[in-house]
Amino acid sequence: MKKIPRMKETMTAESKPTAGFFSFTGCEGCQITLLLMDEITRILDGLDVQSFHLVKEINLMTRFDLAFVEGAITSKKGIETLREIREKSNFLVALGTCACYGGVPAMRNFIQSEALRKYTFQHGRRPDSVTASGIGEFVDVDYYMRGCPIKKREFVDFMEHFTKGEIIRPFEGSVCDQCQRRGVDCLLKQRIECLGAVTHGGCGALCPSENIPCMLCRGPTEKANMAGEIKLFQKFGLSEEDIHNRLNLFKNIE
Amino acid sequence: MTTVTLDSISRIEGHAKILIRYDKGRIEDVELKVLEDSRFFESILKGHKYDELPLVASRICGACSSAHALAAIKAIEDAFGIEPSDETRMLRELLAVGGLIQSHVLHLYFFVLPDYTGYRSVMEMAREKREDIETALRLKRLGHKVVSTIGGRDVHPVTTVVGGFSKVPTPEQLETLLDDFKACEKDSLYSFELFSSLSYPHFEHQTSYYALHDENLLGDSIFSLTDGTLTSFPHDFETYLQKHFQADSTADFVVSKGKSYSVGPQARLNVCWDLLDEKSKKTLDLQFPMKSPFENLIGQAFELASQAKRARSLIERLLQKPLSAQPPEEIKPKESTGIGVLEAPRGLLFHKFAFDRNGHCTYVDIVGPTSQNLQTMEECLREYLTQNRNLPNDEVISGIEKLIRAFDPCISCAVVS
Repeated sequence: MKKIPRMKETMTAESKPTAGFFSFTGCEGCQITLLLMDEITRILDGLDVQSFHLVKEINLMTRFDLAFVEGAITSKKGIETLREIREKSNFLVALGTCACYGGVPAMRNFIQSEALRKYTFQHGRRPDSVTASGIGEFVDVDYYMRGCPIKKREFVDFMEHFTKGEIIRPFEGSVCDQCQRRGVDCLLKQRIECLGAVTHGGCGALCPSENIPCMLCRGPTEKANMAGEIKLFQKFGLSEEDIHNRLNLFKNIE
Repeated sequence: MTTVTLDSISRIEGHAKILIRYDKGRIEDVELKVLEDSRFFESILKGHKYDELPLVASRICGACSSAHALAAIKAIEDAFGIEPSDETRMLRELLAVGGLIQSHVLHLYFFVLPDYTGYRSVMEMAREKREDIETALRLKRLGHKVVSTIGGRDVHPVTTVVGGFSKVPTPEQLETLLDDFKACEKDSLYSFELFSSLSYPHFEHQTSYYALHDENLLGDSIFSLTDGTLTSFPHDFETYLQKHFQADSTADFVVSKGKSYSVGPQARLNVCWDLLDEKSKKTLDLQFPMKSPFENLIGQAFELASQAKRARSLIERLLQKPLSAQPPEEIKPKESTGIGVLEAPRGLLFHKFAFDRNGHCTYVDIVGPTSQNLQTMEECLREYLTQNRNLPNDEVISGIEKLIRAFDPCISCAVVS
C-alpha cells in the first residue's frame, strides 16, 4: 500500500492529522452521509479538524494533511477557492460524484445556452458562472471517492487506513461484477435499462439489488463499452433523447 | 457607514453570509446574503422522462432527499391519475418520518445545541456532554434505520418509485424497527425536555403560518393558514404563492399575496393546534399561537416524539397483513399537469410538473420550505436588531446567528431555479 508522509508544518510529536471539509455546488448529501454515520464522532475525534462549516463555528484556511472537497465547481470564484485548498493540502479527496465528475449539477451544461443566460444573468445573479465540472478539471486529486452519495463503508475504510499512513485502493470492477456476486436477477435480461455493466462498482450493487436499474452514479469504468450499451437501449425501444438523458444524469458523457 | 461581511454562517445547510452595516461603531443594519451558485433544477428536469424526475429532484437536498423524492412522485401520480395503495401510503409516511428524525436530530444536536451549551462545535461538545451525544446518536441511528429499511439507503433513497416501491421490507425488518422505536421513546422524551428547557433569546414576530392541516406529513390536500382561512389545496398554488428574485441573490424568495409567511415545525403546530390532544398541549406548555421563531426548535423536539408515535402505529398496521411487494401498476403517461405537496422536515414543499403525452416533462415549478421562510427571516433579523440595539455588538451578532439557525435554513434548497 502507498505510504503518505504527513506535512512537516502540521506535525508535532503526538498531533492528529489536520483536516478540512469543503463544499461547493451540490446538495451536501455526502457531508450529511458523513454526519449520519455512527462512527463519525470517533473519526472526527481522531483528526484535528480545522475547517468544516457544516458543524464548526471557527474555520481556518490553514495547512491540511487531509482535505475533502464535496460539490461541483460552477463559478470562477469556486475555481480560485479550490486552487487555494489544493495548495494548502497534502492529500486531497474528491468526496462524492459531484466533486468527481460534476454530478447532477453538471446536467446544467446541457441547458440551451439561451435559457441558461436567462437564469444566470437576469436579476444580476452570479455572472461568473462557468461550465459545471468535477474538481479534477482544475487541480490534482489524490483520491476519488465516488457515489451519489458516497458509500459509508468506503469512507470508514479510507479513514482507518489513512490514520495509519496508508491509502486504500478503490474497487476496480463494475457494478455488474458485484451484482452477479450477490446473485441479483439481471435487470438487463428483463429489458430494464440498467447501466451496471459500464459503471464503477464499490456500491455493492445497491440499486439493482433493490430492483432499481443502475444510473451510472459512480461514473463509467475505464473499460466501459458505451456504444454497446447505447445499441442495447435502442433495441429496448428508447429514443435517442431518452438515452442521452439517462447517460448524463451524473456525468457529462457526450 | 461601513459594511462588514461575516464569514459564512456555520452550522447551517448550504452557503450564506451575514452582511452588517455599522454606523459610528454601532450596528445599523443586517442582511442575509445567499452565496450558493445557481442550481437550475427547474431547467435541468425539463425534457426528462417522468421516472427520472424523483431521483434527480432528490438531489436538490441531501438533508431532506426523501421529501423531495416523495413530492416529485406525488406530483407525477397526480398528473397521471395514479392512486397508490394504502400499503404504499403507509410506507411512504414511514419513510417521511424517518427523514424527519434524521434531519431534526442533526439540526438540534449537531447545529443548534452548541449555541446553548457554550461550545463551538459538536466535536467540542461531544467530549463533555456524553448523555446528550449518546441520545443524539441513538436517535440518529433510528432515523437511519427507518430510511434505509424503507428506502434502501439513508440519503437519496432508491426504492421509492412512481406507483409504489421497488422493494418492501420483510415483517422481520418491520418488527425490528418497531423495537427500535420503542427503545428510543425515552430519547425523544429526553430531547423534548432538553430543548424545552434551554434559555432562548426573547423574541417574537408577527406573521402568518402555512402548513398542511394534518398530522400525516404527506397528508391530504388540505392546507391551512393561521389567518383563519382553511382551504382545499388548489392546483394553481401559484395564485397563492409567488416566487420572486432579488438582485444579487441566487435564492428564490416566496411570498403569499405580497406578504411574508412562515413554514416549518412551529407553523405545523400552530396550524394543527386543534388536532392535538389535551395531553400534548399540556406537555408543550406554550402560548398558542406561538410567535417566537425559537419555538421551531421546541417544535422539532416535540415532533421527534409525536411523529415516532405515528410511526409505531403505522408499523403495527403494516404488520397486520403481509406486504404485497407488487411492482407498480403499468403507468400510462398522458399530457397532463400534477402537483405534489407535503410537509418536508423544514416545512411545506411543492412540486408541480407538466408532461407531454409520452411522459416527458415540459414544465417544472418547485417551492421549498426555506424559500418560503427567507423573507420572514430577513424581517426577523431587522426586528431583532431594532429590539436589541442596547446590547454589545458581539452579543447582537451571536443572537442573529442563533435566530438564523432557529429557522433551520437549508440554503441549497432555497436555490432551485
